[in-house]
Amino acid sequence: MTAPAPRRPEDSRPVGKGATARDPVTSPPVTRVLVTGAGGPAAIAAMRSLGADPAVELIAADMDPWAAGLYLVPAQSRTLLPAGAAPEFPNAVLARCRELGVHVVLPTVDAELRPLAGARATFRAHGIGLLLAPAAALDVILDKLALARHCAGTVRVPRTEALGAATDPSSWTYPVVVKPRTGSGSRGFMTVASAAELAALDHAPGLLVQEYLPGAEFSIDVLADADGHVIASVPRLRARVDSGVSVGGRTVHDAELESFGRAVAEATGITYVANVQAKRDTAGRPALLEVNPRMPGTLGLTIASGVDMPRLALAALLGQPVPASLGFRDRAVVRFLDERVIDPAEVERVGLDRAGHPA
Amino acid sequence: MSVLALDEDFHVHSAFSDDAVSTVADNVRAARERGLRTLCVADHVRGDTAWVPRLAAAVAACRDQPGPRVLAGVEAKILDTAGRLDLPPDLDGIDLVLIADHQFPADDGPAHPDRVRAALDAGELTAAEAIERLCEATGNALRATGRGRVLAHLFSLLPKLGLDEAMVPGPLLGRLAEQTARAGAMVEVNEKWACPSPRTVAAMLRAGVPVVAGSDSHHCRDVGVYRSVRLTAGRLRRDGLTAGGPSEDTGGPA
Repeated sequence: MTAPAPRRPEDSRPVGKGATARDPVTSPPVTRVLVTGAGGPAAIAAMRSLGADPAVELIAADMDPWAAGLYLVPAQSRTLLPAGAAPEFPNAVLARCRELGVHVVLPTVDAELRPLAGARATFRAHGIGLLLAPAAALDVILDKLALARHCAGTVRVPRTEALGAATDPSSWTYPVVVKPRTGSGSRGFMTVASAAELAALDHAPGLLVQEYLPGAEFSIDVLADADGHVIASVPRLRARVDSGVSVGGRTVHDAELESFGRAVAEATGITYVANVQAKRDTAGRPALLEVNPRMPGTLGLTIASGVDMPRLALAALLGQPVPASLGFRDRAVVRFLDERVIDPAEVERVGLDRAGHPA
Repeated sequence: MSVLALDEDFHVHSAFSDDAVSTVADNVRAARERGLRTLCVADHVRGDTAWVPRLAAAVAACRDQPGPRVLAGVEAKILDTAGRLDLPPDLDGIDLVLIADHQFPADDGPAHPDRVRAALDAGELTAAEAIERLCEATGNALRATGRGRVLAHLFSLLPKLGLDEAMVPGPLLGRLAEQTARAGAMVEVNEKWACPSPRTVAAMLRAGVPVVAGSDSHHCRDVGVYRSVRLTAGRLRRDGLTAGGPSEDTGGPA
């Protein structure tokens, strides 16, 4: 059994305790939440969930004024931020949060997660909570090789090794998968059919070789409280995929997958919302592909199944009571592209129509 | 927003420090009366300090009431070039560690500024070497704790050595700023020691380091009272620096 990832106590302390997110006496009873990556489906799913709560005021943020989610909130609640990889990113977010009186930041872009987690104490010192897993958990999760090593012994993990001089092509069963150790989605992913093909590959740094899993793929949305206690584990089947995008899916009551998601969450030390991806091996057993330590884009289905993960995660962060355990009911979803028609001037004015929120 | 918020005080001593007189509650009251948004009570600690839990409890008792957000901090000196801090092991309830250059962090431990000054005068150590070692120790000290970190009165040691912040080479300053940004740490502009200089603060801001104000008050009458900090803030504003890094003004489409 692998030891859980170490977690610093200050990572897990709810914002509502200790350094308070807002003054309970003099502040209006509203929690202002800044959601990053507003152009992505994860942000939009989270904003739909949180926007239904009258006690939440949303600020939509993105690096691109064409990000759709910006236009789901009033003009004065839209803001532009630098790219997550830019060195000034955490402080730019902090400065914007102070300017707009933000209490909680919900990052949905992978490149933003580590820089923000590194500045968590600084955000906390300014009364701002991060809806984000602890840095130690991110270190494990965002490196797929480290993740495989960390979870081996907890759940079934496909054979995974760094691609390099030590790689022995004759030792693998083909096909195999070659992909980057870091990064998300199918970027840089390739299937390698033979030992000769694997031997011929350039050993670019940061690539790994992984056993190919032929079975059905599942996404398991996991909700944990601020201490990493798992509240819900909801497996979903990607029933239809069109050009890499999931266009049809359903929740699945499968005790094996539910406990798989729970075990991975506990072993990696994630908090709030994460998405565990698994695929069945030749024997039909689920094996771990990767973990996305943030809200997934397909969260709408999980919310509809009865587990409103963004709202519950926010409650956990704010130190409000959350259930110890939650079940779900089966739901299916069909997905399509939506649109919103706006005045072109709105795109040019993003971030300029500030309402002058109290900082 | 202002490049440096003056309605915050990240460096206030209470009677837990030997040389300060006001209680935590007195400081909180003063901060409330002055309309401060944030107050960090940070007292001097050493490796064997035993009262940290009591400081944390005193600060916790002042939370969840109207007025400033109150944080608990400790101020610890950098011991050596490796960046070890004079910090007790148990820091439960402590939000911020203020990293301070009280003595010269030499390879073999802290050296009194007078001794280092004598070595400089005798030519046993060059100014460049002393500055480089101080920067190295400070950068290393950022890794000494996983808690929230603030570089307190950065470079306050230099005048005590007969040196000046202006002597810190740009590349060295840039490197320390990058290390600070990467560590997710903050830099305090300190009222009592009137440092770091606008040049240093500007380098920190350009690297994306949050910069905060601290009075280093030892009596509650001085909480949140800024003169030199105000001058630094004005200078930075005139130079067009912002707290949000380059994005603040260039975020919108041209």
